[in-house]
Amino acid sequence: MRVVIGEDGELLLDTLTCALEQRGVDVVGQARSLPEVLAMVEQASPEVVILDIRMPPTHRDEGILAAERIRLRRPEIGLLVLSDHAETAYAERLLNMQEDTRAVGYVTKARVGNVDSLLEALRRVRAGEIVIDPGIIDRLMSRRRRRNPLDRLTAQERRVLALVAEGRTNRGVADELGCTAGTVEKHLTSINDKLGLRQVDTVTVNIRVLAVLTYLRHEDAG
Amino acid sequence: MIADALTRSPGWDSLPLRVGGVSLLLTGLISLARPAAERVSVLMALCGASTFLGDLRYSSVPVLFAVGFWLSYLYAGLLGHLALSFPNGRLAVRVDRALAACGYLVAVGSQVAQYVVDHARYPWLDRWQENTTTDRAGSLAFCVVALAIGGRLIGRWRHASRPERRLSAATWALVVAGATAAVGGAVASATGAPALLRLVLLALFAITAGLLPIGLLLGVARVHLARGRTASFIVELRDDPDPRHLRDAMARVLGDPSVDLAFRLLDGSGWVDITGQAFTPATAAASGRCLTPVRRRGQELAMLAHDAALARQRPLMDVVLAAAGLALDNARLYASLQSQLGQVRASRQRLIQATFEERHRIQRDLHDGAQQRLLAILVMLDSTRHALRVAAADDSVADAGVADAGRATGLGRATEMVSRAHRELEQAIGGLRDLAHGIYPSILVEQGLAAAVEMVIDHAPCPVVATVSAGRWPRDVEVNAYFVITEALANVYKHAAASYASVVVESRPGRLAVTITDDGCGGALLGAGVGLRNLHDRVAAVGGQVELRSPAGEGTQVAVTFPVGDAAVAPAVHTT
Repeated sequence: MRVVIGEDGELLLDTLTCALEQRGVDVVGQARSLPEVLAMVEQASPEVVILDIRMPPTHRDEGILAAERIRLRRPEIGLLVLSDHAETAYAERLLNMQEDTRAVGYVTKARVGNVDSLLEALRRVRAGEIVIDPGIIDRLMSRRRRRNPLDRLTAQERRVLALVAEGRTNRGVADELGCTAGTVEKHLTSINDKLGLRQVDTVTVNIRVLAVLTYLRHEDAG
Repeated sequence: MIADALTRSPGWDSLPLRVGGVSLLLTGLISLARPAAERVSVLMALCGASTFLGDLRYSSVPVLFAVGFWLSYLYAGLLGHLALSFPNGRLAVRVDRALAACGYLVAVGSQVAQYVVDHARYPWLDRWQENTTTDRAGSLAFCVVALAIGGRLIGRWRHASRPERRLSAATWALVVAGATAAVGGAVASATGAPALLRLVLLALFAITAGLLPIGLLLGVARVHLARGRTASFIVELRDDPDPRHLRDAMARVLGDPSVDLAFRLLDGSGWVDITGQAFTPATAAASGRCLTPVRRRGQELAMLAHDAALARQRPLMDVVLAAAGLALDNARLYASLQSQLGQVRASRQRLIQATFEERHRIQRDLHDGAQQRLLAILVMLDSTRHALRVAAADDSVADAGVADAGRATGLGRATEMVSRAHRELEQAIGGLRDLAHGIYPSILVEQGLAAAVEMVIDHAPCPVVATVSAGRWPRDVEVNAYFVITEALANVYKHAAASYASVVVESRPGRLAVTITDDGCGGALLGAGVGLRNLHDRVAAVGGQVELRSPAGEGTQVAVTFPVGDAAVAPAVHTT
């Protein structure tokens, strides 16, 4: 797999490059700022670009900006954005890039410390899937609520909802849980009945992830 | 016929002019004799005297006749000059100088032209009704200049300040009336109107000129009347130290709404205006304000900035300043205190700002230094673990038969140790990230209050509902609102034993309202705990207000409002 890494911390950039190469990833370019990323992507034609959200020149949201520009010029390239704080607003911005956004990942920067899981995210993004950090979903689902509609879900339904929010397709959820796609669809119907979460059973992955994120961020039955 | 009789008698037709001339000459001479004589007095005397120059035309000596003929209308030019330069005798702007020059040019030039072209020689006066072309041209030019001067004065009246109008109203009215009569006279003579009409208009012109001194006296009388109002003014000022009221009262009595007061600070370090803002006398003087220092006990304690016209009403000013004496002292104390308070407030705000900058620096150092380095080490540990696992797997494949049990156990233990180190470091990095975020919430600066508050309630130990208006506010307002919210929520978690809390941030015209409510035990007191005191200090530093409602057993509500320059108004977003 051909990967370009955009990360301004020199030590982390090198270590991450080594670690990925150790697992057989072909790191075809290193970039340390927004302009460097854009140039490197043109030059090296990677399959996936890893983007730190904060990079020079302003150290604000260069990672998202880079993602938006790369998607516009080279829509076939997968994008994996790393963020310190796993802020849902950024995830929503990424998912809203296109009508049917795909091949996009948004994970916490701490995930690079677990190269296997980073690798899995890279593979899924290359395969055109959407990847949202489980940590973000976990945080949103465990947020304290006065009357928690999530309490109405069974343990299995909660896992299904979380996996949907992480960007899995029905097939992906089924694989993860070791059940059939039919079972997953049944769970989704039940979740829909209990939460009134209409778009959770749509096939367009980014739309249903957005629906779940919005629901989790804003739902408080109080 | 009467008209005929009048025109043939040089004594009667020129009577109004002579009366006006004498009146101007006398007023000019009398005011010249006073100590505070002004240029306007000189002009008046010259103007009065010049009305008699025309009499030289009765002389049969050619030179005298010529001078008399040339200068017989000089008085009109002088009158124009006088009107334009009233009340101080100076022509302040270029337009006025140009107009005055035109006046002289026409008054003398038309006569010289007539002398040359029409060969005016003694006894010219017997032939004066002939009305030649030169005559008409002269009248026309005269007419244009008189109109211009009249128009200029009307314009000036419209822009005049109240003290200026009080002093000059009567004079300017007379000048405009005179200019009208002059224009009428000129038109009449140019069109060959009946001699009687021309004479009447000329007489009117002369009479208004003669009345000018009376107009002047009227102005002075009105200034004196204003002085009489000071009695009520003194009563008004008793017991009121607010400099703004003093200023308003002085403006009323002096009839100048633009009056401003400035006070020397108690420590003598500078001047402040009535709102406690720094005041620079040089700047005020440069912007065309007239400054009058006020002395008390031999020291310059205050300063009055006012319209230039008031400077010529010094007696009125003196009376008002004397009456305001004690009130000025009080107002000065008040203004000085206000100024000091403002400085303290500003320095407190700067301190908060500096603290925030310092937090930002620490956060950046942590982020670029320790956090990056630890994350890199985490990756290294992960790679090591991976390498160890690969080595163990290779061993088990390659040497399945002659397994080196010791080596396998060693590898297994090393993997175990590295995994533990990895877990520990992961937690340490998480802790460091939270710490850095607590020190400086970068999300707040980048994404705004709504995102930052959402982040805060993600980690809340009890349910918190937040409704934050979308949109951005000035950075210091957002930062203060954010810390108020975290401080208040920390109090809720620590003391309130609440089952839920709510945060509402609303944009209102000119301010931002932040309300934190809980359903806990209540009974909180402002200033009792460190938390609430910090909160109060922070809000007070930026001129905001805190309201605390915390009846025992009924929960607590902290309502804070921050002043905002121009508040962003946007629809609310509901957030859990």
